[in-house]
Amino acid sequence: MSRQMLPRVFLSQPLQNGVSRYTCQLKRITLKFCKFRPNSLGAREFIENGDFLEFARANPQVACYLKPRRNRPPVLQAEFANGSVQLARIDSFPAEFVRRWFWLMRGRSGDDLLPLHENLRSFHPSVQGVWTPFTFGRSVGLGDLPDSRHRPMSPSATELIQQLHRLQSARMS
Amino acid sequence: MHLTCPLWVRRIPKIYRNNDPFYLRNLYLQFSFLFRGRSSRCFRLAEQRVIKAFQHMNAMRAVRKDRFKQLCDERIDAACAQHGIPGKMLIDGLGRMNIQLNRKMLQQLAIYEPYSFKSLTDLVKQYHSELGIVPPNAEPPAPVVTRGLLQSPIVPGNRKFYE
Repeated sequence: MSRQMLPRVFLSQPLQNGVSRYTCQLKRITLKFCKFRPNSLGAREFIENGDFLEFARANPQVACYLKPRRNRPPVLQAEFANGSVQLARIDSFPAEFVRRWFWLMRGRSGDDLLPLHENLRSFHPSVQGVWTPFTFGRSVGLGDLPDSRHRPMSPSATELIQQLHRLQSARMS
Repeated sequence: MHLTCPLWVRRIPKIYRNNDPFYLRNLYLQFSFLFRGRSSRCFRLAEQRVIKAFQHMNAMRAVRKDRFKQLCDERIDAACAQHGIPGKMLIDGLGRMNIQLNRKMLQQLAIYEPYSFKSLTDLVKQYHSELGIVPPNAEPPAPVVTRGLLQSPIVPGNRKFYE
């Protein structure tokens, strides 16, 4: 049931981002915080320490916004090139954690966070060539048929007739 | 209560939401979305199937690991059999030589990098022949230059002998 309700995906990037050229998928990031409440302390420190400006200067491709909201918990809203919006609740986080969330959003592609089949993905998983029965010469699967090791589940038609014949000749004699 | 579309706009506080049977039933029906027949549509049937499905999910967690391990063992065994050694001997031998490859990686190598896997089997055969153990039905391995290092591999404990 878990595999149906929460499907798994393979690792992928939108339009193979990063194969030849990398484009930052984060377009806009908004830090919503309260100027007074204690759970926004980390967010306020993050701004006052200059980390927010440092992020904005280091990432000119991202539009960074600050949104003070009275009496609301602090939230990080990130909007991506594929149109998706991700929210990170930074309630009572220290400033360092807020900083890490900013840089984490910068690296995301905006795709939904779904469980993966595998943590790696490669279109060319084999360098030496995938194993075949012929890789090390024809040493696997050799044999002649019929093989005495293969015992059929039910008797064949020939064997049935032979059994009948034996019974009949036993009865006759 | 299931509200009609115009009334749906009204925000129902969570304390009242919990008392309303609609929300609990809807939760079960969300989980039973892809089930077969009426178990996916009717709450009284869905409740039973969903609880059973959760039990299966819980029970399968340990079983899944065992089954994957069995699968890996089978694949390693089959790949080793082509080179004339049993799969257990490979895993044991690599462990003794401090080559830290787990079953998952070994079966990946056996499928995708068969020549690397063959070289691992050669290494294990060499190790055993240096000890005087001959694997049954084994061809002599390709010459592996070991300089006696297989018997005393560099591990954190004996690093001082090699410095």
